[in-house]
Amino acid sequence: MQLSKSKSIRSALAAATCSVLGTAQAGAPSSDGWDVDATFLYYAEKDRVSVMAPGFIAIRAIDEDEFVTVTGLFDTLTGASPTGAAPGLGGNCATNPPGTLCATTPSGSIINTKAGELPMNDFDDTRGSLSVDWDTPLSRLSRNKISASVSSETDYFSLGLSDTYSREFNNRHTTLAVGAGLTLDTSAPQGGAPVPMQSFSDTTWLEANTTTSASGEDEQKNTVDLLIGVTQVLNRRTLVQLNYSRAMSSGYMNDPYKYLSIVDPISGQTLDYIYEGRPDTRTTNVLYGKVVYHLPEDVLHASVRLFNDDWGINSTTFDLHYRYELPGGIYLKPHLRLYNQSAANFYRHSLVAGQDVLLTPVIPAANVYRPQVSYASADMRLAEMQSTTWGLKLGIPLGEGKQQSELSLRIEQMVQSDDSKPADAIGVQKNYNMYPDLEATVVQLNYSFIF
Amino acid sequence: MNDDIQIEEGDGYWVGRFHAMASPCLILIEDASREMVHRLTLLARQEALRIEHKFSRYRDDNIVSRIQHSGGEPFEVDTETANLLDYAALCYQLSDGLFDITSGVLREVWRFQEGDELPTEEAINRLLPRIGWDKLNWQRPLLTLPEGMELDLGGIGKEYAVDRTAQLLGQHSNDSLLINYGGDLFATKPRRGDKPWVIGLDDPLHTGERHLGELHLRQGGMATSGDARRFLLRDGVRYGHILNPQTGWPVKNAPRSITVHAPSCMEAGMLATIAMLQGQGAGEFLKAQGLPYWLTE
Repeated sequence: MQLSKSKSIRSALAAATCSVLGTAQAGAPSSDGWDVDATFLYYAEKDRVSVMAPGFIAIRAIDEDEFVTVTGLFDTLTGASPTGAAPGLGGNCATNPPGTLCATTPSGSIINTKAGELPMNDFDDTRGSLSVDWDTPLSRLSRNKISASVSSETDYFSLGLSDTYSREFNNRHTTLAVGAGLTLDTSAPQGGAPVPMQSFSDTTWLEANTTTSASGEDEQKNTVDLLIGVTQVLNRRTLVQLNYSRAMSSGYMNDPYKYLSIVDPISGQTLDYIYEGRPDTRTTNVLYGKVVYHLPEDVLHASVRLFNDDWGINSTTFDLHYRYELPGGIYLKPHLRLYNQSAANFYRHSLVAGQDVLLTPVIPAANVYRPQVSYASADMRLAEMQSTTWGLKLGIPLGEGKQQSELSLRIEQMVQSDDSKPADAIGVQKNYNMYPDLEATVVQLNYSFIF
Repeated sequence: MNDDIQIEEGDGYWVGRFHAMASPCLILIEDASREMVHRLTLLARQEALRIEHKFSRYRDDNIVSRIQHSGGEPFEVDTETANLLDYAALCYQLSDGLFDITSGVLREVWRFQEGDELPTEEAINRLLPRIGWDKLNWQRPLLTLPEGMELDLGGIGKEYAVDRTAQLLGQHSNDSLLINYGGDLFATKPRRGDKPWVIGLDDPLHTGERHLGELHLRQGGMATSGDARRFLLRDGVRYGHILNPQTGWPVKNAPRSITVHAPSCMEAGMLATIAMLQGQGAGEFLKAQGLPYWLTE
């Protein structure tokens, strides 16, 4: 049996092929759509902050080999964070009898403490951020990427601009990248930025109003980043990357909501509070090395990050990811991260009356504590600490053809700890946990699709 | 089997190689980073192996095997398999029964390896009752395969893998890509400067030794039917390896080789196969389709 001579089956076959391969024409480039990652991140610290952060990353080819990436994130933060004050006997302005410690911040917040617990500051905030990258080829072997970002929350605003140039050498086995960036941050704390290193009892600025701050004016910070990096293909399985970056900041570096306890040199009980004060310049150096090793199916990522700054912080991060391929395109990605850092040289869990701060008579007000040290902060992020993070990500491909998408779920657990009974604890502090472990959980749901 | 990938740099493009579906598989990529080429080749290999594992009739752990062992009972298949069965059903219909995925049992007597031994008429006739798409019951998603019959998606699988790979890689790259799985091809778009990919056309009489010429593929699919090394000679008649499922005998006077260019690799492969099944009428059939083709008598 033969087909009649003129019979064309081409269009019927084309229609059938389309239904097998999906509605779109096979192999049409994806440049006519956005590759979108929609993500929802939930981060919760035990008894402290929790963050809900829906966001997206969308990439689109605007021309051959030229891409625009738009990233948006919307965070809602709620909970409490440590104020920096040391745990003590406790005090409550509403109920305590006169004579026990009770304090209000100059902006009017009341500091209530429970005996032996780390004083916390409740807060709610929302933050929105948006960044746009434009990555374009300059020639067959070189590319340029310009990034602009903006981030805004109630009391903070940040603008960033950066440019990275990369070029491939050595038969494209080597990529060299250089970049520079500028970030401008504006902090507008509620009630004005407090005067650094001023005790709460010192209200001279209220009367004199001659100090440069606490006037409700915004505080500024500028950061210049420089980066140089090299990526080398060692063989068909192994890729290594080495980056050095340096950031130089100047301006307002304080956390306006953090303060320290001034404690009695014998009893260790809090006598007063003092706003933290940090240097107004900071230079950080980061050396980052990464190895990506392709096994026949799986992929191993290992990286080490060495950080140091002129505040005296040195840190090491070791990070390991392993992408384990399962049948049907499903993958599992276990993750381990180990981190440790040394304290900033001005980190203090509290300041000692008579040593770090002296009681000074002030006219016309009463006696106030005046600092004898230039800088101090009890921000736990500047303390010596170690943290361990372990996590697992599961990725599942969904749909077929142009409708292909991926759903992934990441769950991580972090424990951050330090010496909870420091040797320099005084009096009552010896009974308390001066650095409670911080436990945090991250759950992230991600959906990647073509839009 | 080589279960690995290799990356090489060609003249102005990258080549990612691996082995799957009993064929050398190549991914040609213009202008991408080596890391990207690596990633795309791994993705391609993963997809090719997935399709091979799922539809190979040489495995006992896949859907084809489970259908084979369904004991004549209705068997529910997944969406992807159902799509391919719908496609096979349509091709059976469009070819007036010449393209038939149940004809694989003929391999029990036709081996095209051992000299000029022809099977006996009797041996072939014994197989014919086990062949014929019209003998099975396909009510998507339920397939009822009578016992003794076999499914062979080999005539679709490789081209399907090429198109699927092209779709998959096209989602991760905007570079011009050429997928070549054992001679079944797909180009995602023209190369830089609207240049085509240039493919050497094998002389079927001197496979691997002599190129008949070059084919230029800018975009779309291309596939070839015919294999000069697989035939039997008897009394001066050349019996090619394209078997007519209705007679159980090789198609007479079929061209040695047919190459078709079509929007997808699946269409190209199916048109080349159905053309081959027309025997002497192959050329006319191809002309009627109005697509570019190359025919070697």
